[in-house]
Amino acid sequence: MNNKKLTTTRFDINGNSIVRLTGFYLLSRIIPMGDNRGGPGIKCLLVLGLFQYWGRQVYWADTRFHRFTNLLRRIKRKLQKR
Amino acid sequence: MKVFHTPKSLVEAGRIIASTVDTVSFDLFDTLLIRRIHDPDLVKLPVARFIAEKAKLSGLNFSPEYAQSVRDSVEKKQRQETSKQFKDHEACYPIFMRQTLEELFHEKMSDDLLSEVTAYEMTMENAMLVPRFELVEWLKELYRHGKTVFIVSDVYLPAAFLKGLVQHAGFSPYVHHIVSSADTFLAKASGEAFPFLKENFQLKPDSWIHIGDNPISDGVRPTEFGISALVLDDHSEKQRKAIIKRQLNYSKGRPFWRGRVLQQLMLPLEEENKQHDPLYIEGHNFLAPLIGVFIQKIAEKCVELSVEKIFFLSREGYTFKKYWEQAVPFLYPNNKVPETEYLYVSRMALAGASCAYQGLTKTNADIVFLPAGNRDFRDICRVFNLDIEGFETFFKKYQLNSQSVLSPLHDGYTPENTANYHALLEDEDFQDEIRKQTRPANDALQLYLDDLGFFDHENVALVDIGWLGTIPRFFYEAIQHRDPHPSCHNLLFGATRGIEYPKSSKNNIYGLIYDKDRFDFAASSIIYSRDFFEEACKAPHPTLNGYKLKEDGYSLEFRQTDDEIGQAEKIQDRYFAPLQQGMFDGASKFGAASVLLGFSSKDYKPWLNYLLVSKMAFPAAEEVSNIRHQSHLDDFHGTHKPSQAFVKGARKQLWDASRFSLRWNPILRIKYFLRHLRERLNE
Repeated sequence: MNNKKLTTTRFDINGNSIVRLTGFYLLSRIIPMGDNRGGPGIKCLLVLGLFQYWGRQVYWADTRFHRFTNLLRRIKRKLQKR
Repeated sequence: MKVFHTPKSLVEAGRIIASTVDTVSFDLFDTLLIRRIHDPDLVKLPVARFIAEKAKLSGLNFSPEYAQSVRDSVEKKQRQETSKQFKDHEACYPIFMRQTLEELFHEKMSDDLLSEVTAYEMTMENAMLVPRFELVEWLKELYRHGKTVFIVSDVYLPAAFLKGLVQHAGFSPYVHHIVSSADTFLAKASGEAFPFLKENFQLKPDSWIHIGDNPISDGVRPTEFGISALVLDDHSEKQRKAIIKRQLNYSKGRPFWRGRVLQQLMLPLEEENKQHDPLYIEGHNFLAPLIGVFIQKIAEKCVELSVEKIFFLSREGYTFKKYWEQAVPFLYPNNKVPETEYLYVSRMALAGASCAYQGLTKTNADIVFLPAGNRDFRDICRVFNLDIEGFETFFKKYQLNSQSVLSPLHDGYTPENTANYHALLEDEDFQDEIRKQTRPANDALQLYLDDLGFFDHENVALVDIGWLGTIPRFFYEAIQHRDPHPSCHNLLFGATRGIEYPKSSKNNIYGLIYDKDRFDFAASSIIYSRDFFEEACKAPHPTLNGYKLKEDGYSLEFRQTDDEIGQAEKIQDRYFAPLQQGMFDGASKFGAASVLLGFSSKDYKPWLNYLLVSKMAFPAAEEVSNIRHQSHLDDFHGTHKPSQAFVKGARKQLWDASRFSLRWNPILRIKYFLRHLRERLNE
């Protein structure tokens, strides 16, 4: 048996990753899996999956090019206000 | 000012610069210590709940939200007052918390209350803080190289409190001085803290480096004062915080995420996150939240039922009690929960004792024939600890013998045998013989319970793993003749209720994670492998064989462990030791995380349902081979072989499937899951 860490490098639960959760969610759309009170929701799964799989790269760029990313944030805020 | 994006790169550059300086100062929060939660203000919420609970005990009634709003306004007022005299808008915890409590409790405010609230807030802070390994190791190295090490923080906690946090994190011996803006109201944010440090400790700015995470307070300000500044802008930490922030936000709208965010908070960080055996991982990441929710449900149920004492029944109760002791101090800091006790019981020990007054009932005798390994009256005698020789005359009277087959699962069974056997049970003389033989065991049990003060209570809870509820049934039948006796609320992990439970106003049973009486399809997944849960929670001591009456009292008779079965059990215990360790290591983390989130056990149910279905019904092949138990002792089961027709008809379970089919059969899990679904619907 290979030793592993409890938290993965993506800050996910070892043995219960977001991929497994997504698989469960998709299967629960076909077969009744019990009461999950609305389940995780596809949008939440996608956003979290993005943060877990690409978050490192996104924040790497954010910390190094923060002037540019801050500009993007300002544009986003302005667009949201409209 | 130099900016670094990983602790490693900062330490590498810092080592070079530090060789030329005498003094090194560190920021504390987000530099040497990181929080499990993204927003430090969230730690204040359990404190507000603690204050509201305290108020309720003092006869006052206000909500945690009100307590929090008073705290916020008092703190804000203090910051405004401070800003009139100082450049910084700083606050000091002991001052504003005293004012908050005075405003909330009026004449009921006391110094003890302030100490209790402060101690609780510090406990919560400690539970949420994790030392940053690389930076703490470098700090220790600097101390050993003779540098003067400072911790400088802009926070409302005074230095004495920060010292407690640093002590808990394990690096206080390596720090010379801790300075907080709460004591001086001179903060790093304005830069005033640095001249203060220079004057008070005769420091030279050109021989001083400062390390922190805030580009202004820890970067620009010290640089303006001539101090070399190293700023950590860590993208990995940002990613971690972004993940937990989203999980917490989702949990507000979607209950499913409540359990997920709980588990995120339970996960180890930094150096806590070590390599572990796969069984330890299953214990921590699967069983710890599951047992945690069970324990939280027990606590909630006991408060609801006004239970005075909880008796955890051996042997699974050992694990539940141990978990309780670590998690409940966080969940109920005001000690509102009942006392606990470990009670040595077993089906075999209680079966006999249950017959001492009521005799052998038909239902109890039928329970013996539920396992396929039991066949005849010898099995009844083994289970109820009876001497078969005392019944020979009755056998003749009812055309039976000790080997008459009474179980329809065995060859040689005839319905006449059952009819004769039922007539035997109706015989009063036969029942008198049963009572005579089982009375000493019952007397010994009463002495044991008297010793534990069991009958001093009106309302008790008995906690067991499940499944049919035979232990609670036999236990209540063994004590119901005592007048008065407490009301027994039996709280089971899973209640499969194969035989109807004799409920009454003084004897009730509840399945907290799964209860057959309450249709819960996802939770019914525990039926996939009940023995796994039993083995995972089993105490590392042998099972109880019986209660023995002695001249000077009683004794508890445990099963010998030197035979083959006893040895196999020891091997199983050793195999599952990492699994149990993982579970126990998660207990206090569960308590702290759950109280921080403020969710009830009901909130975690959707996530728990997912965990159970995912692990029990759709396990990975590796998971099954890892956590499948190697042996399972059950003295209740006899050794007789059932008929071929029964063996052929017996259905194979998913958890008994070979590793090969688990790995390569794509429809295996679906097939078993649909079968499980059909069985539950037909129940």
